[in-house]
Amino acid sequence: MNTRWLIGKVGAAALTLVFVLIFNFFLFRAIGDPTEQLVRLPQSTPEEIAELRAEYGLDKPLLSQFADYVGDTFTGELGISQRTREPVWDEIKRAIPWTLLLVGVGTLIATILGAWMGVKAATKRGTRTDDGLLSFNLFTYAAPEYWIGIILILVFAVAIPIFPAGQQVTPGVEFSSWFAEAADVLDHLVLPVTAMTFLLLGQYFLIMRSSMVEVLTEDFVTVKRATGLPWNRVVSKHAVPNALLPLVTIAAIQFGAVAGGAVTIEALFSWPGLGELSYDAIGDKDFPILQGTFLVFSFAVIFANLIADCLYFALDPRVQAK
Amino acid sequence: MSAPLLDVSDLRVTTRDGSPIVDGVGFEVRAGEALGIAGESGCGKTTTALAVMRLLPASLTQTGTITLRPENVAKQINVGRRTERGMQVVRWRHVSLVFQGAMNSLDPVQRVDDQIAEAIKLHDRDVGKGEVAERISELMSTVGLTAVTARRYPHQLSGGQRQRAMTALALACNPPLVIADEPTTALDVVMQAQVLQLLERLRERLGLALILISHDLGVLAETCDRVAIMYEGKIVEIGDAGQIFGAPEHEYTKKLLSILPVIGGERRVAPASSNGGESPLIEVRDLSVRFPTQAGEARAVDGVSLDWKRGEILGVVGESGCGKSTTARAILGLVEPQEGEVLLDGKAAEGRGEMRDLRKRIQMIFQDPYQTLNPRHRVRTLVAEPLVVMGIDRSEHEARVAKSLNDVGLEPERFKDRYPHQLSGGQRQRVAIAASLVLEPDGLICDEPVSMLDTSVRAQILDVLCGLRESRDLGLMFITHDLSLAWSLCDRLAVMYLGRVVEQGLATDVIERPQHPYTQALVDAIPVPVPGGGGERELLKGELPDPTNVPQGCRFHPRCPKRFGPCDSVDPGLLPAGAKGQLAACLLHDPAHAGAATRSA
Amino acid sequence: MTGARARELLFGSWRGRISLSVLGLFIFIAIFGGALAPDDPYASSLETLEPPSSEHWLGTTEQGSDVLSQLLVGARVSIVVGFAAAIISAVIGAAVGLASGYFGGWTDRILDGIDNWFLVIPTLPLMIVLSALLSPSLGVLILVIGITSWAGTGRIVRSHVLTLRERPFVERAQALGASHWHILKTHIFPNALPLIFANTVLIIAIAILSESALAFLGLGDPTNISWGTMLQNAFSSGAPSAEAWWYVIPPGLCITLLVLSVAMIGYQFEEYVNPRLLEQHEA
Repeated sequence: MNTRWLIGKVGAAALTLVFVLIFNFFLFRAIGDPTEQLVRLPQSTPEEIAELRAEYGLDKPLLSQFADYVGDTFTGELGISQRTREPVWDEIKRAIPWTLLLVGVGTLIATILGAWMGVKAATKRGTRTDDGLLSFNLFTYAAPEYWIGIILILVFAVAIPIFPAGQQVTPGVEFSSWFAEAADVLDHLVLPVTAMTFLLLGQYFLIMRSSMVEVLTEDFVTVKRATGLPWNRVVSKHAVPNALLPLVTIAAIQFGAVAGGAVTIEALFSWPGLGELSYDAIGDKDFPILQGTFLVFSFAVIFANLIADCLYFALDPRVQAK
Repeated sequence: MSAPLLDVSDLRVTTRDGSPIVDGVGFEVRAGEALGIAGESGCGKTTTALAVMRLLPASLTQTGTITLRPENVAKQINVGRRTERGMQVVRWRHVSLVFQGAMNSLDPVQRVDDQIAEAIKLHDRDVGKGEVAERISELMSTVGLTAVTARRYPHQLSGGQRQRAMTALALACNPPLVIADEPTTALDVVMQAQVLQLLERLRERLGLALILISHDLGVLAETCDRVAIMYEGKIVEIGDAGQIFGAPEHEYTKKLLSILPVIGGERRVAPASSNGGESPLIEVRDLSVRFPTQAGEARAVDGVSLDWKRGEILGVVGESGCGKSTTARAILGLVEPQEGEVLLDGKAAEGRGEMRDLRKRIQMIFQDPYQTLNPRHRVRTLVAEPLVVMGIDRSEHEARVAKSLNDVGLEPERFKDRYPHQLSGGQRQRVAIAASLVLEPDGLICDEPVSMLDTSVRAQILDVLCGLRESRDLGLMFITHDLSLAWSLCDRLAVMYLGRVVEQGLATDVIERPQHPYTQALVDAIPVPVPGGGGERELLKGELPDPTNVPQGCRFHPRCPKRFGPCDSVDPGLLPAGAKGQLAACLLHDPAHAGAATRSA
Repeated sequence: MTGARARELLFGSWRGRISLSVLGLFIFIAIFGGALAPDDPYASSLETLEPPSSEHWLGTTEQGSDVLSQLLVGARVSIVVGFAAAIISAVIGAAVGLASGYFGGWTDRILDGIDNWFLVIPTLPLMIVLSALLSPSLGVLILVIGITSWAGTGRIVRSHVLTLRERPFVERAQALGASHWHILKTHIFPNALPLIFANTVLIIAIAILSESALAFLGLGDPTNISWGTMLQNAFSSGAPSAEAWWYVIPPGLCITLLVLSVAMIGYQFEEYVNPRLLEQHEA
């Protein structure tokens, strides 16, 4: 077992994290005076500002400011939201599960559906099925996910009102059981998850299709067919497992796009996750929230990448022992 | 006489636009017989093999009758008329395939034994788990692998092991017929001989019939009872191996055979008269190149000394990984040696000026004609590149490019404005040679210059190179794994093993009367284009060790059939052995130790 | 290799021909959109959220402006931002990829680390942070999108250069003692160029989508109408609940068609320059 490879990946992830922290720290200090961003008191005297600077530690040397910042970050001290006057971490903590629900379900459906369609298209390359699947998926790839969301609202919440247009639960309803509540959340989840699926589907399909097309030209596919293995079993037992490998790697790179989609889709559906939190912060220039959500998004994407690496490690014997 | 096991008649394979790939091929194979199919690339031999198993892609149409008559089946099997489902039962049980390039023939994410088990269970539903395991271990020992190896993934096996594993897979269902498509092409001489020997033994033991497809006539001569020669989709000649090789009738067969170098036959180049007086062009002194790798430091070149005289063809031979290419690269400064030096005309090439001089006077050409030219430039730009790099006046370029192209037999007017993709493999290699001649060098290092070319093209390129030696007194350093080629072409030879020169001397002496056991083994492994020419021979066991882990003492001793007492502790230097000027790094030639050898023997 | 195959791929397939026509049409609109617009796109009127009529072919906005006029004017922002950001991204990506792949060693380790970081980092949240800090304008949008989207190009160019560096023609030039500049100029760059180009085309698609997303989130250039800002206005004024499909569908469809045509051209080119496929063309 090549644990060195895995340790290397963990190390690289840790290094990226450090970069994110440094970047985040300097970004909000390099552009504009942070005091103005942290508190917007229109008529504050120089004394008040100096006092505030001391309170936020801005009078200390940069390095010790950074040390404070790192320490604070790891103890969850991300500052106070200017809009709600609540600690940023509390706001983020409330939002995380909702984003995870949306992103998790969306990614899962998109992966399964995209991979399945990709295999279908690749094995029927050059036929009408392939052409149709390719056109459909290229369209979903090109269409902005929030526009698809708007159309979903227009069609399935307004014209034919079968799903709620926004938020996570019906407001003002007392639920008789957790089951009823879960059903209500699920009902609210349908449209945003559909939009999220459409965001990823095209990409995953295209990756899986080209990866399958490539694997199907490999010699071992001919050899497997020569052993008398029926074609559908050659595909499912041998071609697909090999074609899935690139999907894992490239899907990992897409996690950044997932985070982006979370912002637009949550903003559109008023879904109370991290995306909506940062959307609300844009209008109010609520920098502590923006800084906090950006940090959490980055952490999440790095972590998701690490998980993808582990998955790759488990799937590809060539990585395990080299 | 009973009906043949396989009967192919009037087989035609055409593409969608109607152009034929296989054009009316017919042959038969009897039970237990080995049929060889030879031909150059694109002649349709692989397509024929795939057609027999009905494995061609849907874009190709096949017609003709293919009949299989396995002993244990009452009715004959008409391959051409079967449905895909019907073929699935026939494949592997009655005819199986060893594909060319075993590298990619196994599923990379499944263990070898699981892949064999899959094939066994596919054709025998009732087989028990224990039986499968038993069958696999039996197959493994048949092909000379251990059960531990079977539990591995394909990438964990060496090239030779993978080829054996693929052979085990082909035998999984006890088929009466195996088709082997270029089974040894990617392998070194020693490995090639091992695999051929394995196929030979399997035929004897299992009564297997074999279709062996190869571009190498030597390989076929050794193993096959009958041989078919293919050219442009047709079989131009088919007959007993003895007749084909002894008294070929068709012009094409005659041409192929005349090109093939046969040791002891006629050499391509007249032997160098007397080299003694000539001064060396390049001297390599105690050169060492080491690379850091994950497994430790690889000693790619480990104390090599060579003399390359003016106008001489010096051959450097050995298995892949022996350090012959690295030595060449170190001479040109492409890799930085850790120790040793390179002398040009007796002066060390150290400073910038000396290095520039060396780079002007020594040029290099590479193996793969498809990779060797930058696809984005026209021929004239490609040939003129050395002039640009050396800062030679632009006004001279056109004339010098034209002269170079003429020298390699390409008309400048026809070729100078072409792009590489508009040239054939042989033409590309000529352009590469032209580019290396444009500076009028004294020496040309050729790294496997013809190994990727077809036999007839190969001959043309060799003619060009030898002609240059005659006309320009150009010295050639010829790096190759092909010993018969080295014998027919080179004045002197250096045999390398694991980063060291183990034997050197006149090419004829070294190949005809080898003094080092390794050279002897290499010579024994050469396929001889005379039917049954291989005879009974002792082959080297195992594969070239890892250069990160060079054995103590003589580096060859773990594989050496003649090792004795001090071999595992004393590292021999080059000692005079055999003919005048011949040297071998073997303790058998060391008077201080040779006595012990005779005593232990 | 000549441009013949590239031309055949682009013009020989129906996908290529349609994509080129659509892109050409949008570029035409981007240049002459203002003159083509039947109404002043900024003018408001009392006829708010009117469905399409003979007067307003695509109806009106919540401000009573003509949707068609806004649509025609909005093309310019998408195209300008898309192309300009893609060029910035291509220049950075190509420079990093070439340097990283060709020189190797520490140069590679550092540049590859930076590339990796930009690859992993969630791009849209980063763009949001950057554009929230800087006050939005066309230039800021281009810059922000350009410097956050080059990582993919850098990665692909790097791995291609790594294989080019091992090619015999590079080794031959090294054996002649050619300078790094000579090798980069005559061997590496010309062979990497088609790949860089194909990637840039694909980045145009991504940049157009990014601009529209930022505009939708309210971070667009406030002085120019773009399809993204149209969607933002439509959404925030409740056009979906008013079933104002004429306001919602056209801008999104335009984005989709433009991105689709650009992406198709990019894929056609990628098929042409894919190093794996390239070998087959050469052979």
